[in-house]
Amino acid sequence: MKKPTIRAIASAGAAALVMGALLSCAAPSSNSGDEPTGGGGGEVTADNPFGLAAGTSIDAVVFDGGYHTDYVDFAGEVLKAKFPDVTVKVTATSEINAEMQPRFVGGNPPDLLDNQGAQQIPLASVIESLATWDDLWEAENYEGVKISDAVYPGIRETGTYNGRFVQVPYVMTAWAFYYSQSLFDENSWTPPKTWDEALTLCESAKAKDLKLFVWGKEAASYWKYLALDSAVKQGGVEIVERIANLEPGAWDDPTLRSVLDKFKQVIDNQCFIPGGSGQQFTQAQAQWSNDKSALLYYTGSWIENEMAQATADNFQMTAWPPLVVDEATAALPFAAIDSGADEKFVLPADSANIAGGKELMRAMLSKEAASNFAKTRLAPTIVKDTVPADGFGSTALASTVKLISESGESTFSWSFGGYDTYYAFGPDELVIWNAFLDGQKTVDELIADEEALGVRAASDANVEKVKYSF
Amino acid sequence: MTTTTGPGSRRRRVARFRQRLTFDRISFVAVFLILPLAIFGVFELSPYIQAFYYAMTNWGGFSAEMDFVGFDNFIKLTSDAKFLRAAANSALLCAVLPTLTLVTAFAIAVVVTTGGPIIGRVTGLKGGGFYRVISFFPYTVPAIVIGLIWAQVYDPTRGLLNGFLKLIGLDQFDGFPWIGNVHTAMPASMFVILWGFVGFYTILFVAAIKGIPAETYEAARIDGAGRFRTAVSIALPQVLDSVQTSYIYLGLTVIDSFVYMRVLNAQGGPDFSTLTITQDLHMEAFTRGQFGYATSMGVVLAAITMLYAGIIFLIFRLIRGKDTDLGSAA
Amino acid sequence: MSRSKTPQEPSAGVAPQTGSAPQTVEARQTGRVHQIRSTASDKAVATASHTLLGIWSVIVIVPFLWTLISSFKTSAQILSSPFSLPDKLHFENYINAWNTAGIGRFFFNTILVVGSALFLTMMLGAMLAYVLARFRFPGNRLIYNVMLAAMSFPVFLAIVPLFFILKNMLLLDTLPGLIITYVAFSLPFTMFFLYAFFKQLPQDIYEAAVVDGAGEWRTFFQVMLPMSTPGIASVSILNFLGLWNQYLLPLVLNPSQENWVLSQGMASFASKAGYAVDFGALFAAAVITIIPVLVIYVIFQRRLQGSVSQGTFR
Repeated sequence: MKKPTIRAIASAGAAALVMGALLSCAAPSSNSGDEPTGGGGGEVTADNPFGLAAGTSIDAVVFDGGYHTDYVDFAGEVLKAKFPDVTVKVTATSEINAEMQPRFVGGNPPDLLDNQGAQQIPLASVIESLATWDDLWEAENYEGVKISDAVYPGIRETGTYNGRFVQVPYVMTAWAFYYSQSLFDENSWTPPKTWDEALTLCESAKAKDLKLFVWGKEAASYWKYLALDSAVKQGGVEIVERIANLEPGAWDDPTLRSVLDKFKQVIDNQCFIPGGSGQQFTQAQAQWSNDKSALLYYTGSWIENEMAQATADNFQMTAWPPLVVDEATAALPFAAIDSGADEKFVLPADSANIAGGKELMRAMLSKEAASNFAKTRLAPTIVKDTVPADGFGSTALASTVKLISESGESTFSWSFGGYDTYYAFGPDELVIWNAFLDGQKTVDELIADEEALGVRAASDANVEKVKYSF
Repeated sequence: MTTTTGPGSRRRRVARFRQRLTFDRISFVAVFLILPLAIFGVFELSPYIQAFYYAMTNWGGFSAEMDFVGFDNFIKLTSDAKFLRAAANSALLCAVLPTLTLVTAFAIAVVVTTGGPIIGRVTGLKGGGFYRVISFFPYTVPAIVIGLIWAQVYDPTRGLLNGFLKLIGLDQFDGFPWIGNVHTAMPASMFVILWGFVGFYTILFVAAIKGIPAETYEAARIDGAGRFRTAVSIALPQVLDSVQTSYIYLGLTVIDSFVYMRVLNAQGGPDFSTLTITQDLHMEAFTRGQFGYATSMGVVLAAITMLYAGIIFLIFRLIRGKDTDLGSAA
Repeated sequence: MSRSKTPQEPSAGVAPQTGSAPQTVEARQTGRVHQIRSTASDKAVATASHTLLGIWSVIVIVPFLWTLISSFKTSAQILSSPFSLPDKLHFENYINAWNTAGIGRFFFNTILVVGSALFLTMMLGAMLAYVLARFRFPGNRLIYNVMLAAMSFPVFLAIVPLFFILKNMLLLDTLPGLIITYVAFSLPFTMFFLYAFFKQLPQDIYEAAVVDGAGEWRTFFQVMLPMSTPGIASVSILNFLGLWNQYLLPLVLNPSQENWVLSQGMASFASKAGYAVDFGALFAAAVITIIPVLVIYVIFQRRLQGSVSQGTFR
């Protein structure tokens, strides 16, 4: 049932980044209306659709990661222009889970929560404590346009689990290899298309005393996304669909295995900078962006902003699609990439000022706040038409946009609102992938370990299952 | 440690002084007992007692619903590979770390207090106080900060340790992930804890050794006992009680180890090689929302703690039995 | 040594020194006058000792120094080499750490919480220990043993129920709630330590006070409590270091950022500094956290060693 229109989402990703390219496909709008409007105490008007009461304060907790948190402060100011006597408090943290779980259990969660990053709360454990965003989608934005029309299509589907629209992903994101164009030009290298080309490039890099890839321990799972994205391109999205639906044997797929065998060869040929399993991920990333000792890094489009403090001059950060095993037999064209909306905002049902949480998100979706985000973070939000044609002069953004437009209809987006965060696989998968990347695990062991996670989740009667269809 | 005044004689004297029941006395005892015991009872004892009940429920924590499931949680624990790994790690920690820490602390204490010339009076090593003060430094630093510093020290490429090893020509350690390698993660983490605790036990042993009558030492020396023998046969028996209580206290700390392990390897380390029961419990309770199950882990943790304490008592009883001669030499 | 007592009982240690105690190593050392002629073996042993202790001191000191030096480097310099010296003293790291981590606030909270908890613990612990040590009444031994057992239970076992107890009493996520929890969990240790102390205070003094007409209350506050100052000082130091270090209890029971204590703030800041690639500020925050207690320790280290010698450790 979930995500009936994969096309819509795929197009959404493309549309977001292909500046101004508006897609005509309509956003499927379904108004379940099963949620009570969070009592704000104020009068409900078109201008105050959730009844935000005067004199209240809004408590927002925002993941302090690649995008930092001041964009929410900015939205808070936009809100206060409309509601001068409301205060907005934005708390920045990256230890979402450790800090928020006691507040959820204790009955005083924040009014708005950005549940993101390595320490995010697994959705399965918290979904019943969340309110839905249905009435936000029906409300008008600060420019008087219905919000569901002002954002790219498919967002609601990305944030819907078992029929409940509980997450608003705020930022358009793409997964890709990023590399230094200047470094590649100096050495007359071209980025690889297949795993075999990657192995060849690895040898050329070694000759220069460089490595092909690098990983850090909290971000080992980025390489899982490469493996699965590569398998999707080679064999189709059904491979990850089976994995997401916890089907037994889903990881033991011949296409996926062919990808993992190549991956293992890359590891065994020592194409990774060693030691990632013991290194903080931003330090590892700095080896690629600051030292240029690794050629390619598979990551999300937030990377440019995240590493802005530690990127070498004239790096010319550039995006490139994930690898395939064999271009001739691949299910999707090489240009296909994994792209969708991320940075998931949720609305705790027990919060003191639920109307405030909704109103703050409405402010974030205003043209002013969304444009500010796009300009300062070099990434587009789900709000349409906020990135000008020049891409703010960023090579990373420009090349990501180019990638997205080339990917077009072949874009897939299984990793957004993903099953792995829903079922809290994150911590265990980090352990598995760190060991694999460190050369400590065979492909068979990796598959067995991943299978075991699926079996455990599938047999856990306390966790409600989600039926995914990509 | 000095010879103790036997508590027996005191007790007799207290008893001899008759305790009449006056209002003054009753109100005094009542207030002095009730205030502290109320706090202890409500905030420490009752949670412990409740924990044993929650351990037998399937409580999720977010809702009031819970079913009594008897020993199901404990049965589930026996087939939970991750938990068994954590339990094995905790056992390894308390088998190895207290001994290493206390031996190091004892050695430093002995040298600092009695490392001076062997002829004549027993004197400490010249400048020994300096080492004693230095080695206590880490104990003044919050565990969390110790973990943060060492996580940086162990960094494969920018860390102090590999930088140093490279400097002395050991290039093979360039990029070696001390806390990311399945073989070294546990020893490296253990070292951090040892580093943090040695100083505290050093000053404890220094105090105990300084309490030993000088005559005892000098008599042994006249009998021709060497340094090592005096340390083992004089100092050690005298500080045995301190060592025993230190073992218990350190054991409790080490079985916990939560802060250090969480800072060094939040997810439990390579292949869960540094995952402790406490981390597993915390994840089950506050990440996965399995409060009943998590509490059953806590009960097992308590059982392991008790078992550990029992083993320590047993070992020390055996040692005392064997060393009675030396002990009574004082 | 008495065999009969519970091995964990703290009296298994040092009584307040009485004049009749034999002269100890310490007493001899302080009265050292003769310069003993060193033998070759003494020199060898001294050299070996200094070498080994020296190596240990280096292992202890160098991470501290490295932290200090790194705290003055920019993140780019930290990322380039572990040994490079700062090109200039980048104090902005300290400003960043102080402002973005909110260390000032956390310091204040920590001092408030630890200070209040310490005072209450010592007060209540002394009261309880005194009554248990010097009054006979039914249940005396039971209370003692229950506290002994509670002390060896892991805090982790209690943490989940404790969370809900505090929540029901509306103490969750408040500083008083954290303080009272700290008090409850430090009481057993404090009681054991002081129990031994009160047990050994001379009965004559108590009798004299009572004969003079002082009630129990006055006897305790004006006679017995002042006499146990050395013991109280020792436990206070140990309790202070223990509470200063607490992480688990505040992590679970004190989640709101404005209530955080230092250890929570540091954990959160470390994680954020990782994302923000601000390692200079991370090291600076560590230095800010370390310095105050370290300085206090260096000033009072003699007293600490003295009180550990005088008192005892359970």
